[in-house]
Amino acid sequence: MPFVNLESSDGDLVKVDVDVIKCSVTINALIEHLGLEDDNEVVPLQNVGTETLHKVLAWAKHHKDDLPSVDDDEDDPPRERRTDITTWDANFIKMEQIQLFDLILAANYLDISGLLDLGCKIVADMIKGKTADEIRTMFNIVNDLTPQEQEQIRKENEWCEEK
Amino acid sequence: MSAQCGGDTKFKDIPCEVIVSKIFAYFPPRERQLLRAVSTTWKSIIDDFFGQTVHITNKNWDSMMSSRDIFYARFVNWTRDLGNHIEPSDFTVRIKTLELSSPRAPVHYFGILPLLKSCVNLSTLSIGNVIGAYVKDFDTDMDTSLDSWMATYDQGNPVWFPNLETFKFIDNWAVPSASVGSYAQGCCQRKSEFIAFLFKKLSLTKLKRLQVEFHNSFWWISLRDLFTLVEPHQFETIGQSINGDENGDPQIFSKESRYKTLVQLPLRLLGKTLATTLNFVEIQYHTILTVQCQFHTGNFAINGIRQLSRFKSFISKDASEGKCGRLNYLQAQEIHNLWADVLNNSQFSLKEFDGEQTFDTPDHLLPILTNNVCTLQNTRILTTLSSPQLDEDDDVVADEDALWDQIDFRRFQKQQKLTHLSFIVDKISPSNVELCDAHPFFRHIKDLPDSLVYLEMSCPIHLTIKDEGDNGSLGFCDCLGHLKNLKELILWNTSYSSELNSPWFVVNNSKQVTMIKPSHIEAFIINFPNLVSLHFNWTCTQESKNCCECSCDLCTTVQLQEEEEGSSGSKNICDAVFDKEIFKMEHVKYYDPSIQTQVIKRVKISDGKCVKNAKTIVPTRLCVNIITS
Repeated sequence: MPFVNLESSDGDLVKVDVDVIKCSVTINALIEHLGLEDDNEVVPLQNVGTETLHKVLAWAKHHKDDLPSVDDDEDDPPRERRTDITTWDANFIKMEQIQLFDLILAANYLDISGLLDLGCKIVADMIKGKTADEIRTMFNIVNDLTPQEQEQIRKENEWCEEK
Repeated sequence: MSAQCGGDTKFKDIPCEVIVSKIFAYFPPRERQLLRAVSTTWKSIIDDFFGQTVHITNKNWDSMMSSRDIFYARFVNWTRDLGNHIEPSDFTVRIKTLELSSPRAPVHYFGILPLLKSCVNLSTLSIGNVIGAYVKDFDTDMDTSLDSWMATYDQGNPVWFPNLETFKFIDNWAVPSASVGSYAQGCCQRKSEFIAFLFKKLSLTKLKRLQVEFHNSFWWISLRDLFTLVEPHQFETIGQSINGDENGDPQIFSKESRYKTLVQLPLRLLGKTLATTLNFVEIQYHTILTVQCQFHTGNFAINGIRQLSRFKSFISKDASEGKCGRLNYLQAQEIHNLWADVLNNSQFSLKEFDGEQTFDTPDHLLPILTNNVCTLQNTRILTTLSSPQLDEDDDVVADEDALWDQIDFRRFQKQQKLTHLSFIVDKISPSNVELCDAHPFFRHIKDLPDSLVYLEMSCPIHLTIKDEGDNGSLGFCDCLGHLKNLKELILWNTSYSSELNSPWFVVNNSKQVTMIKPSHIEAFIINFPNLVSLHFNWTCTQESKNCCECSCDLCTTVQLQEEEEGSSGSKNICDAVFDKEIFKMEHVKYYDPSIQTQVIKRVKISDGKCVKNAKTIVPTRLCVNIITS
């Protein structure tokens, strides 16, 4: 079965090469679970809108020949996650916040680790270097910490401010 | 994530805390800790997934005691006396990582034992610089005897850290020059007792990783006490002399005997008791050069014992007999000015500390490598050497005394099963000379065993290219060409000459190669049929930054493709066009560590053509990482 029809939550059908979307653990499982053999079979993706689905497929197509990522050796000392982003990915991920979070949600739902990592990296980059206030503003997050909690956190975080 | 944000952004719609925790995982602990101030949700996610990292001070100790989320606790400059006993609390029980550094009087060795004992779920324990210079009153509030403390508070279960996997101890305590006599002697005695006691507790754990650093390794030690606390019978080979006289006073042991004993202690104890769990050991001893020391026999200058500052390399005898993987027995072999690490079944490392001493007897390295390499059939050798800092005018590369010339790689040749070798030599003087095949460097690398599949080495010279146009071959390959099994080759160069624009490639006939072209790469890798990864790495020095008129930090030009129209001349790094039929190459990756978010340029090769657009990156350090299929 070289192709599969993916049905977005908007009801749109998108025909895609199975080889392209093999990065999605979810879709692979659905294909197997549903016993799809025909090119005209439909895989419903209730949590992914059409626009986001196209984005996902664009990423998947570009990365379809990527080697599987190698997990860190468990015996290696813990370290921060790598932050390598390819130029293509950097350009690909330039989008509005709302699209970015939709993409992260879709990557999570479709279980595409590479795309999920990319989205998380970008959000982390957006956060880096900003104060708590700036972060709240950027993401419209309401500060729901009580003054007592804020004071407690301030005390707990004092060491972070040390040079 | 709970709804807590307004507007039309959708951070709030990320429903899964696991996803958010993925985002937070890209932050180092310190930055992540600051993110807790954003909202209750962020705080709870960070605390739950990563654990709260707290810096515990004398002032916030009480408030910390009520916290339930502390996984990682750092005690710095701690002076608060916690008494003789602490009941395990929510706070102490939940701590997974405890870092205790530089506690000050009245806290002393025994004073932190109650805290350690109460942290029953530690997986990582780090202790550094216990007792600073302010120790005069260190016994005023505590039991003066460890024995009496143990008799009262350490009954019952002798296992303190059932889950401990990593232990790091850093001893950087210098005896204050004014602190001589019985006071300093008492400090040293407490110290030795504490360390011995701690190691005894460690021997009851399932420790996997041990790192010990003795920066001032001279102890005023009552060896009798030390070996009474640990298991004296484990040290039978050390002899009767360490057991003290009949009055219980330490004997005047030979200075050499003290040293031998001390440096063997951690591994002798742990090597026996942790044989089934320990898989990483790193022990570093620094020589004593400046501290005036005192034995019971009286004062003497440290120079008097300098010749005794001989250290041991520890190897696994069982491993040498083919039983790799366990530190069952440790055999010492004397070396000079070298510190040995045993990374069981994974790495063997020899290090020399920078600066203080000259590398006056490099030949000591040879027997160490030779005698240990046989244990390392499936392991990696990592050797880091530092030669003395050289004056700019020095030209030692071609000198008879050059470090490279002191290392006989033929010793490796006998170890045909060696598969991994890393050999990094720092501070090699820049080479302004062309080097021929007769240079010691070439002679040595020719002796590397052809069993190697991984080779990482510093290259103190420039690779030479026999100038035959685009099909030129590299003289360097003539030396490494026998390594047909090589799959990964990493070359470092930290000392290239400012006069040369290319740190790696020099044409034999003095014609410089200012661009690395595909043909050069081809000439290089064609010698290694099994090569999977090739990595060139060099560091730009300040000297070289000013070596040409270009403004980039690294003026070396790597051209992997004929220049494109619109590119900014030879200083650009362009996309690569490699012939897939020749190289079977899939990716070329440029790595620029100078930018925070790495933009790795991957150039995919499809049907023999580069399919990606060019982008210029001017690196301060460049890695050309070529991955062949």
